[in-house]
Amino acid sequence: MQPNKATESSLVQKGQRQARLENERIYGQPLPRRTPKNWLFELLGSWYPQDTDDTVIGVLDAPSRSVWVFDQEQQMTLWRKGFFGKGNLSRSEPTWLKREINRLQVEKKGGKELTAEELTAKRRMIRKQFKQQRAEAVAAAEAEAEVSFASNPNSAPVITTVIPSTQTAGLNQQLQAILSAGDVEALPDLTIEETPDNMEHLQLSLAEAFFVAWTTGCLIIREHDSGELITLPDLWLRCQKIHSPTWPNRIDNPFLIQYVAYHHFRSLGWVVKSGIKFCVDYLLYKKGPVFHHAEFAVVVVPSYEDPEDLQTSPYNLPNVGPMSWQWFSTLNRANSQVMKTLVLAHITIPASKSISSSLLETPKVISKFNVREIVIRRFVAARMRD
Amino acid sequence: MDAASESPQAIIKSDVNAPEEDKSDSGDDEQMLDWSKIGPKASKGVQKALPKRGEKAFEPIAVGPSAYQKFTLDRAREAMSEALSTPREIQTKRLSQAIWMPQYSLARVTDARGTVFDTVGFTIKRNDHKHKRLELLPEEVLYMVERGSMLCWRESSNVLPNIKEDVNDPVQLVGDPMSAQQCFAEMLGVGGITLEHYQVYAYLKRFGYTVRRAQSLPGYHEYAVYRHALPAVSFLSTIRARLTRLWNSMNSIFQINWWSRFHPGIASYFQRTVHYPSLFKSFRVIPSFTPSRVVPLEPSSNYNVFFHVWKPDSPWNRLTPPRPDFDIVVINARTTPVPTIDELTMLFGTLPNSSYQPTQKVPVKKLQTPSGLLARYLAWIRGLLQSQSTAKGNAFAHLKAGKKSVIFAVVDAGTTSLYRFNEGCFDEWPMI
Repeated sequence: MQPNKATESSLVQKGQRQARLENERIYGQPLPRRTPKNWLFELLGSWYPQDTDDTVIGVLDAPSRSVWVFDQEQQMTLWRKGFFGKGNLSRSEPTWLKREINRLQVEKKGGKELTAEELTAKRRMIRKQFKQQRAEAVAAAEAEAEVSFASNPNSAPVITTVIPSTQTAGLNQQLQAILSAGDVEALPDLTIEETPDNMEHLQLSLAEAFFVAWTTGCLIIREHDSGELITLPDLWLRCQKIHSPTWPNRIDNPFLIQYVAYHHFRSLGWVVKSGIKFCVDYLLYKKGPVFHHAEFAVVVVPSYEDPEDLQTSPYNLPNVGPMSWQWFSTLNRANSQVMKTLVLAHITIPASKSISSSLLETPKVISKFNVREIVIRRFVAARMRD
Repeated sequence: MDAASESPQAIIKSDVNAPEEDKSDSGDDEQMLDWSKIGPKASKGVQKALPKRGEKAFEPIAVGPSAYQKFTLDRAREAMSEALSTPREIQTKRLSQAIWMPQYSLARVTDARGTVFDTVGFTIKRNDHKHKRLELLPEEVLYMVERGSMLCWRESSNVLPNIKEDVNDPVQLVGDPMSAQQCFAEMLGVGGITLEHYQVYAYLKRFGYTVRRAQSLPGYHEYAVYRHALPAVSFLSTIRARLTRLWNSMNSIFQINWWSRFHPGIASYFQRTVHYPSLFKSFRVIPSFTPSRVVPLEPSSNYNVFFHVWKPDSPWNRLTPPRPDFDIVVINARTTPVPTIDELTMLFGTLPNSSYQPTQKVPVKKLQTPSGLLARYLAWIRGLLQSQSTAKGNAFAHLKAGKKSVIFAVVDAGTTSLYRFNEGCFDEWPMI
């Protein structure tokens, strides 16, 4: 018997709602947090129950312009509270260990708890099967049309084959069925010897690392070789130096520009991730990638307040000069294909004459910048008539 | 899809500046025509309508030539060649006539047929004639000549002025008949109109929009142009901007420690949960841009608004045109780059706020009345801190529509792309 369609779809909906609530529970906090400690509250500590410490230790890796976090739990802290960083062996969330354990468990018996990567693989498989079914139906319809035409060329051919569409095929239901089937099977536990070590680290871009370290105080960064502690003021200068090893600090340091854009959108509550795969600088997520697709794709467009700074600049920043319509159209086309709205974030670089070199040594300098967004939409005349 | 399902809102009425749904990027305007629906055969007895997009044909089948597919293809080809080979003709009763006056770069209408004349040109009384007459701009004449609904004559000096213009006898009309080619040659490049302008004009006209110049014609006050009323700078916002500036300068005097700026203060000990909106608000240290005064673009700038455009169904009046639905800048893609932020700021400075209004009905959260005195006090403090509402529901629609909006028509050798540039308002719609 066919399962009742209405119940099936409401089940799917229920499952989705539950998944959302679960996500809300896991990823609800937008930032890691650390309650300050001092002796008075140490004394009162037993009376006051709250004690949050999301402190994470990272290592600065200058050649890759990133900060690495090795501890598994600390990686999850940064990922779950604000979606910072990226697993170096994963697409985004560091899931390598989970995937590896799962693989070994499957090897041992069989069963599945799917990671994001495996989920995608399943979805693709279902889609591929659907496309094949559709192609077969189309071929059958063609054959029918041929026969019908041969017997009666003067009337429209009669076709009885139903060609499935994405709507009627219920691809999501199929996926849901696979997922719920997986829950039933029990997985064998791995012994301690069988359990692999975590080979993955979480990598933070310099802008991400500085933002977490500065605004939350939850990230402690050490030198790669010596393990020496890098203080916040040191980190600020190091980030600029890494981008410009041979030049003295300048107001148009690439790190500053990228950080200003990152900080601007982070401070407005967006989850900001790299947009390099979409030919832009940043992607903006509402709440985070597990909740929604990215809504906006941001291109950083620096503009110099003082044109003389452009003449003397050693950096040759991208998108500074006049932008051609070809390039503009490329950006817009690529992003509207993936349902993202293009935003040109114009960053005004203050005149270097007005900036003292001591100002460059603190993040106060970002308050001298300016960000103006221009949101780009295609205007389709045929669709705007009423 | 995501935001809407999460917190459903009253549906916003689709508005002039409501962001259009970019469901599929290839719009209806880019589909192939189904020729079988517009050929001369189709016009007989069948209601004349724009053809719907046709079904895409199947791939050739592997087993060999298909009689049915060949039949369908041949039929489509035949329909197309028939549709194209039909001579273009117009009934005499629908043919309008005008006389091109090179000395003014305008054409006066001697015979106006059809409703198209409701939204073109302007009426003027010249000294050599005792009545007001309708005169057309070059793009308007070209458009009508190109689509075959107007005959244009060129006024020549060897004909006496004040000759009786008898429209029923074209031979008596002053001047020589102009071919479409001659019209293009003479009318483009005069009166401030380029080929790009004309191409954008014709493109929008064909969709039925009302298209008019955004700037007045020099010397002709009779050509009424809508002037945008600029939003008055409110007194409060001026005060607020001054106070912010003062606050910032005081900050720099007192040397706030920027390293420990966001460290949780004493208050955090007494809060069971973090109040994220106020925390994120404290992160916002990059000031938003407030232009000190409005500086318009140079009149010669390529980025000035050239056309005002109204939707086909909006009521329109020649003497007092209503507020245009769209402001269009026309750009040659090969010679003029994407505008810089300074140019855009100047351009937006002379444009009014977008008419897309947010729905004011934001569902008010039912607040639990705090019981204790201390709790009530804390809630009050929190209310003070939380002056900015967080983004709810249709924030994305507002973010995409922006504060102000202008459309760039970018023309590259006859191909026009239209982009909407919206002035962002991300600082007004924070996510937390």
